[in-house]
Order: sequence, then structure tokens, then C-alpha cells
Amino acid sequence: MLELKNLHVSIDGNEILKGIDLEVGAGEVHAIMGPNGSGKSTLAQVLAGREEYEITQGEILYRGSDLLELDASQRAGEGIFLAFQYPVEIPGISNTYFLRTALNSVRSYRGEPEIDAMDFLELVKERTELVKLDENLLKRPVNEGFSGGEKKRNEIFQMAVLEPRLAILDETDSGLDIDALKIVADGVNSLRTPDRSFVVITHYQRLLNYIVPDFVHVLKDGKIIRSGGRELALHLEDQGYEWLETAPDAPAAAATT
Amino acid sequence: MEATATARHTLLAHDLLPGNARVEPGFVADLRRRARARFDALGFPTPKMEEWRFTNVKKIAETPLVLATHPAEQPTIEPFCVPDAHRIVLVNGRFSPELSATAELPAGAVLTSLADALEWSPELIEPHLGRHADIDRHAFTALNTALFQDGVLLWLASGVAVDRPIQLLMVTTADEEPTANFPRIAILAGQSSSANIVESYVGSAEKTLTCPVTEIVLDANAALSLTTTHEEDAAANHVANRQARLARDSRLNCHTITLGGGLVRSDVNVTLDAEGAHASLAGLSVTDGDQHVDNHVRVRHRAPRCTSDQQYRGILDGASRAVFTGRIVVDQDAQRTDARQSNRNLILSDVALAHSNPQLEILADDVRCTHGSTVGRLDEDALFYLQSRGLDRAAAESLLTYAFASEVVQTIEIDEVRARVERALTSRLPRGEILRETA
Repeated sequence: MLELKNLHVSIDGNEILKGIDLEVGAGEVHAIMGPNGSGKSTLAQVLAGREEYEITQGEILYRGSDLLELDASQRAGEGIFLAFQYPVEIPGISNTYFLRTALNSVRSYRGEPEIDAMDFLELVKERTELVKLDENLLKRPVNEGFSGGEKKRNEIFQMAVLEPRLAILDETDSGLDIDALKIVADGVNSLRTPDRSFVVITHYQRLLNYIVPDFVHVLKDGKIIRSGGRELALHLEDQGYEWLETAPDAPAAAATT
Repeated sequence: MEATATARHTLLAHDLLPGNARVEPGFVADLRRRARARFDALGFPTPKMEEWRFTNVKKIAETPLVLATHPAEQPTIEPFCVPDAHRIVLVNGRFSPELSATAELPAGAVLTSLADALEWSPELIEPHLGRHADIDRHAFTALNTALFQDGVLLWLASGVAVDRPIQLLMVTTADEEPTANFPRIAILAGQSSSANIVESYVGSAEKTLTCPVTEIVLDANAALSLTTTHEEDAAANHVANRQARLARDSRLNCHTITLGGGLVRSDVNVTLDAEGAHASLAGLSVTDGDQHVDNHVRVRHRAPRCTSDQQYRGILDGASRAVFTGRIVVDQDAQRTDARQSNRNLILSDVALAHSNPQLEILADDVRCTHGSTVGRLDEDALFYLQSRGLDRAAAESLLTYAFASEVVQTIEIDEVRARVERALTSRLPRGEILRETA
């Protein structure tokens, strides 16, 4: 599905990612953990196609093709979805209108016809239930005046409507109370299929109790310094990120998948 | 104040009588003479005057204009008509009974030619004409007062509610030489009356000057909305002055939507005269090329517990210019005033320029006044957000531009007018077609 080879990324001359290797297979859930400033969000933005970042070395293959050739909207058309850490408020445009425009944009990219208005309403109704999104929020301007939890749920709701092949969740759990976290995690879990992959970026192990990853990677200072199974996240929760420095022999698999 | 070199403009060669030479009441003739003397003294404004610092009217002052006359043929107005509206049409500043449709107005509502009204019921108009719009300091208002050929009287008796929209359709047609027209409008709303009005300026031709003056008087508890749309050709000049006086508990909701016109200067002056009056003044300008739009708004709070809200937005492309000067004056007695002002400008090109001049003058101590102004470009984070959802760059830009305008457009009361402005807006956006079904 996704393959990163020796990826180096800079912004304004500062190198943020310093050689990332990562392989995500179809249907897999990969968690990327790491302290603040380790480059987690940069990785998410680069995968989604933010143009401010400069790829100085390495490559990204998505379904066997060079992802860096595509801009953000083309990547969306190819089935990549980023759930934003800080979803943007767009006053003046209703959530429903925005979502239908988005859905029709990716359908048009794929050569599919626009969705019929009735079918769209049905789809929306079904998917709002998935994340228990208040239907009133659909009529409101995109994210405007939404609580933190509502914004994150709205992201997962958009994901449910757009049905991506590769979903990247950027700190979707940050700032959520446990109830909101469970709702978001349930939404994600219900979207897990054998051919849909997830990259779950998080600062806290807590999320991984609800979205159980197949692989865990620890990112620090722009590099993946440890990869392993779910147990790696549990160790991190107990020991903190410092443990990685002080316990080189800790039980963690050295290789990526 | 200093006058421009062209102290004797071609327009002043005209007689101070309407073209059809009917006899006017003495108070009108007196007013015209005073206004003309005042214009002689003032001359056209120059950028050295504070109120005209960012708008140079030299090209109007230096054009040998003649008074516009009736065109040889009636213009086509269908594309500009608001469906189901009571309608009065002025062509080149002169009443066109053939194109107007006023027969279905409810009893107690009068919509007619101002010249006719001055002949038949001068007593209705005398207390107001020239009493609100200031000829002493505003040269273009003096010019209008001296030279207006006709205009509109909208008079609403106490308690009359006009349910269908009222359209004042102002058409300018091309002539062999550049012309000027001076519509004069009086809107007199009786106690607890209400109406929704749209004032549409369309047509026109190179170097034309359209120079309307509107006096609006709301009696106690009256409620009016007035949406003015500028859809003239890009080579036309327009200098307008609207002056409103609001009595106790009355409510005025004004929109100034500027899509066309080369130089458009629009003054809106509102005086909140008695407790509980409210004025909402909104504006949207969408400019390109070398269009120049100057909105000058002044709200004076004279009495306690009045509220006002100014919300003006500009979307500027090409080498266009937008000027906003918003003044809030709160008199010493106007305690518990709540006055807000916001001016936001969205710049789409490297050379467009917006000037924003908020001005507050507050003499009372128990008031709430807020103001803010911004000039900026489309937000890159928002663009990336939309692109990451599949919208291409042009579509994302169009959507955000539309959204920026939408917050003003959505507050237009008359559905057909709002839809018309939305269509005009989307037709100017690169990917406007994706916006055709905005929910």
C-alpha cells in the first residue's frame, strides 16, 4: 500500500525527517508514536501533500507509484485521507455542502458520476450514526464553533463518507475525553477492512487500547528509532520515551515490517 | 476646503429646472439655488480632503458631462427585474411609467415619481427634501440637489407592511457624449410600517456619472431593509449619498453590494435619533481590473440604547482598490450604546490594494463599541484542508472566496436578490460551477 524509503524532509532549510523507512501493507494498522517535535505531524502532512515541505531525499511509493508526483487533491482522489490534528474552520460553507463537494471531487477524479442528492443524504445519515455526530452539525459551517471532540468526530465522519484506501490519523485522540475517544475509535474500527490501511499518529498510548495496531513505530528526532508490535506501545506507556535511550536491550523488534 | 480648477463645470450651464420645465414648488427652487451656490463654492473634492483622501474624482471633474435625457428607445430591463416585485424604473434619472409596475401596492403605500409627487403633494416632501442630506459639506450632494430631474418617492403610511419586495431599478443608457444623471430618492416610512427594498443600478456607458441622493426617514418602530446593487459597466462612475434618520425602536438593514462600476463611491450616513433604534449596515464589493470602490459609512448614536452593526467586506483582484472608512459617533447622552464595526478584505492578486480606516468618536462612558479590520489572502491551512479532501487548487480557492462573501450575502433579506448576488458572484469565480448548489 505505502512504502517510504529513506525519506528526508525539510522546511525553511530545517531538516525535520531524517531518513524514514516504513512499509504499510493492505489492511494493516500502524501506530507512529513519539515525543513532541519528533516529526510525527510533518510525516502526516507530507503524506497528504502539503507543499510547504521539501523532500530532499528518498521516495514515497503508494500502490506501487510515486506519490510525490501527485498534489494533495490528486492524492485524495487516489484514496489517501488525512484526519487533521487541528481541523480548519470554514465559516460561510455548510458542512453538508462541503462534504458533497469533496465526495464529488474524488468521484470525478476516479471518472465516476456525481452522487445523486438522495443517495448522498442516505449515505450521510448512515455515516453520522457511525460516529454519533449530531445531525445539526451538518447544517452548520464547517467546524465553526464545534467543540474539540466534535471537530475530531467530524474528521472521522468525513473519512467514513470518503472511504479512503489509506487513512492517516494525526493525533485524533489529543484533547478528547474518554467517551469521545471511544466514539472516535469505534468509528475507526468499524471502517477497518482487509484492504484499508491506517497510519495512526499519536502521542499517547491510550488510543491504542481502542484502536489496536498491528505495528508500532517510535519516531524521535526525525527517525524511526524503534519498531515492534503492540507491546512496544505498552512499554512506552510504562517507561516514557526516555526509556528508549537508557534501555537499548528492551524487548522491541528491531526491524520494520 | 479648496475647489478644483474646473470651477465652472459644464453641468452648471444647465438651467436649474427639470428638463420637462414643469413649475416646481418654491421651496424646491430655493433649495436648488442654494445647492448650486454651495457647489460653486465647494467644487469637486480633491484627495487633499480627509473624506476623499483615497478617492480621486479628477476623471469625473475633467469630463465635459451633459445631463442625461430620455433615450430614443426604451432599454430592455427584463434581465434586471426582481420577480414579483413592485417596481419603479428610472431611465437616465427620469421616471419611466411604461416600465414601472406599481399598481398592486397595498393601500397606504405610495411608490411614484418624485417630480410628480412634488407637483401633487409637495407637503409630503417639503419636511424632508434636503433636510437630511447635507449640501454644505458634500459637493456631489449639492450637485444632485441643484440638478435632479426626477427620482422616487416611497411613502408608507403608519402600519403598512408591504409583503412583496419593492424594486427601484435605475438604468443608464449610452449616449453620444458622456452624461450625468442625478436620481433623487425619498423613502418615508410611517410608524410601524415595513418593507424590503432593492435598489439596482444597471447599464450605463463610458465615463457616465450616476449620482443619486437618498433620504430615508423611519418613524417609530418602522422596519426597512434596503439592498443596493451596483451592476454597472466597468467604465461607469457612481457617487452616491444615502442619509437615514431613525426614530425610536425603528430598524434599518442596509446592504451595499458592488459588483460593477469603475469608480463607485458610496456614502451611508445613519443617525439613530431615539432610544432603541437599530441599524445594520453591510457591504460586499467584488472588484477586478482597475475598479475603485470606496465605502464611507458613518453611524451617529444620538440617544441611549441604540445598536448598530457595520460589516463590510471586499474581495479584490487585478489592480482594483477598495477603501472603507467607517465612523462611529456616540453622543454624550447615548449611554448603553452597542456599536460594532468590522471590515475585512481578501486580496487575490499582487497589486490590488485595500485601505481600511476605522474611526471612533465616543463621548458617552457606558457603551460597548468594537471594531476590527483585516486585509489578507486566502488561508493556506484552509486551502490545504480543502485540497486534502479532493478539491483541486482552483476549486478550493473559489470555495473559500465564496465563503468569505457568503457571510454578508446570506444576510440579504430578499430571496431573489440574494440568489442573484450569489449567481453574479459564482460566475466570477474560476470554479464557480461547483458552487451552484450551495446548501
